[in-house]
Amino acid sequence: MQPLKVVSDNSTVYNSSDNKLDKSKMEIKPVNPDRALDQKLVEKAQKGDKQAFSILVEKYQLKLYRLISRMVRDQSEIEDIVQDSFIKAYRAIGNFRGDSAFYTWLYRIGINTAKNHLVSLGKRPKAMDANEIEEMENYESMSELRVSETPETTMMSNQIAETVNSAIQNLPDELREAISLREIDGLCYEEISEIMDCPIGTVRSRIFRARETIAEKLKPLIETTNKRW
Amino acid sequence: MNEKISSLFDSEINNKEVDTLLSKKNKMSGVRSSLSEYQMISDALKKKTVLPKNNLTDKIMSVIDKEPTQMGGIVKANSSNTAVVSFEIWPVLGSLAVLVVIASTAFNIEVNSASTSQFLAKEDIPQEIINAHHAATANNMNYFIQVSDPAK
Repeated sequence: MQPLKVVSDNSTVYNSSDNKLDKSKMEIKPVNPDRALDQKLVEKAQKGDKQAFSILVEKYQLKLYRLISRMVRDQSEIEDIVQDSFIKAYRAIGNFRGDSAFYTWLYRIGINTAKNHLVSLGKRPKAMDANEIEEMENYESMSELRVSETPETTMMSNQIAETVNSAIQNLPDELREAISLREIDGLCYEEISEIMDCPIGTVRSRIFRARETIAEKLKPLIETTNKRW
Repeated sequence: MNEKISSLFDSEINNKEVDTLLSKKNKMSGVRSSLSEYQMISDALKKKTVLPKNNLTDKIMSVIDKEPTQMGGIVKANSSNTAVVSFEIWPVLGSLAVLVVIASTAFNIEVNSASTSQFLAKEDIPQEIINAHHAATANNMNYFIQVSDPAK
């Protein structure tokens, strides 16, 4: 369960003149900004906004792909399962009430779709105990992709990693520090702004400029790999 | 615009900015492409296996675009995760209420007019004339059945 804290988008909640909190304006929100954003996108999708759902697809397709790759080896089968899982999720989105995180709900759909796929092929899916199911649902921390890597994917992956690392070394200090604190240390913008002693808007701008500079260096490589794939 | 996409990737974006991004429907393909590139950079920096940029999202969305648009959300969670009836149902309930009012009004008018005419008949016409009228009137089906002439 997600811890909750009292936060506010509105600076008038805390009245600094009399040091009192205006409780009527306080709002309970999940600490996890990911979950709050997902909930917003889900609510929009429930009201018929397919673009909102497409953001959720883009956000979670790779994570779901990695999850399914723990159960199924064949790359094209994994893609089919990921596709089916998102379609099932879209059809059932009206029933999603936000009792759990969207990704937990989606991962459950993915695991069940993969199991059904294995059964349809006459394969017996591995029985999972409660701990394993929980581990798979909290998949965020797992990084390894257990899909059979071909020499070509390994080479391409290494090339991208080299290009990104070389690009980050050539960034101005303030951009490199901002993107590293975000991506490697996993800090939120507010924490980065405290460390770098600058406004959140500046952090946001620096991270964006760092990404754009790296993406520019990656473009030729991405175009080549797209042609190859 | 692109700065908002970068913030969206980090889930550091406010509701108004999400609305602005989603309102630019013709630019959604560019939004998804940028998100995909940022994911690749993120994976490389975290030393995860980088997957090639695929068009899986496009494939999934082309299928979903053919699906009926979701107009659900009859129930949704509020901040305390309590299910509440959302506002989408009120227009339907309102329409039903109007129909019930119209139907009951029409029914009352009919009942009242019928009882009024019966009352007037009893008041103004002497009973013996009514009885004579009933006796002379063709009763039931006999009035409507026309016996065909066998000669024809």
